[in-house]
Amino acid sequence: MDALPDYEIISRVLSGHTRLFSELVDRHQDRAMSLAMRLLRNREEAEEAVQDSFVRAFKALERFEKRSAFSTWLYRIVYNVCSTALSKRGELFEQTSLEKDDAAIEIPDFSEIPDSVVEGEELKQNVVDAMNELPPIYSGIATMFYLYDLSYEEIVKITGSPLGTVKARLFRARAMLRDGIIRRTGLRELAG
Amino acid sequence: MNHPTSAELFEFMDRRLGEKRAGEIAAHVASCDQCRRRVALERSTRNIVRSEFLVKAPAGLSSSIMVNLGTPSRDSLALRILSKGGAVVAMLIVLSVIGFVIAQVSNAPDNSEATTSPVTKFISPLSDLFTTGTQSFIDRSSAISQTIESKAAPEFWKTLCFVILAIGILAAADRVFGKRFIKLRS
Repeated sequence: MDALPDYEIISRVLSGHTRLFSELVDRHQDRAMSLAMRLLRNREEAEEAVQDSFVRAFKALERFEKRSAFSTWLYRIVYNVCSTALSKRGELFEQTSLEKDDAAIEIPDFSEIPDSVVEGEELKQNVVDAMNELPPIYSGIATMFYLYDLSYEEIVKITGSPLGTVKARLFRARAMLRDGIIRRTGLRELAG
Repeated sequence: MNHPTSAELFEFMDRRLGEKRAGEIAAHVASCDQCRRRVALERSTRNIVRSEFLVKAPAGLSSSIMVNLGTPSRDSLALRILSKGGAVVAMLIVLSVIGFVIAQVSNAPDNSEATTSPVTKFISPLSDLFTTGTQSFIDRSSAISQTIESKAAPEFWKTLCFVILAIGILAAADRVFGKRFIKLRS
């Protein structure tokens, strides 16, 4: 069964073998969960969002077009469900005001930064902390880009935002991560 | 050559630059210590996110989703027996062991202190405590049930007991079948 591609499973589900949908769930639940966790930052809510997303995907399976991967289509549903949850929570998901200043982002002077900052054990914790500090929209886009290795175009399909917006947000996310890592290391060195 | 901007460097690493510009930046990175570190940091960040941020979905999520869809998955029955029935089986085993121990202690000949084994000495008080506690619980339960049954019991208490019983049954059904019969929070 593992050898069956997603498209084949979807065809069989649509032809009446509905129980095969669990195969798709098993394949994609971890990644769907990772995206929901990054966006919502709450395990219980993320589980609910993923469950809701798979139920929606099942009900809308007939509308799935094979122009993109099933995973991309599923992530779009997860993204929308999480976006709604964030809106209900009263958190602003769209943060376009931040993106207007992208041109002003400066390049830190890396000549003063020791190699230990860009490699080594300490970096792992710094990256985790900096990632956790990102606002949901940037954390989500960084997850899609780094963790799922998605292209700009695939992220456009998931978020429904124009390519320019996706590029701007991804750039902002990477710059904020980089600055967060460097700031943490600087602070730790000053403190220690 | 000046250092490439952050945006340009990211595009270079994402292979989204034209061949000519990409070649220029590659040559610059090879000779510039600062830009080499910028590239190294970005690559390390990507690797760390990949290794640290993949979250494992909870066990049983798949079965739960399929139950919600009204389409039990192929292995859901076995999983449900294991996950839900496991607790019941474990409880039955524990009760059986307790029952066996109590039976052994009760049937043991009433020998003198000197011949009583240390295990019996240890278990005897526990057995008495368990028996007394269980009897007390049963007595108290029947007293409450008699009070509720009697005409003297106010209608309010009867209703309250019924509501608590109904919620208990729904919660148990919720756990066993994985469906949301009751929504505990919005």
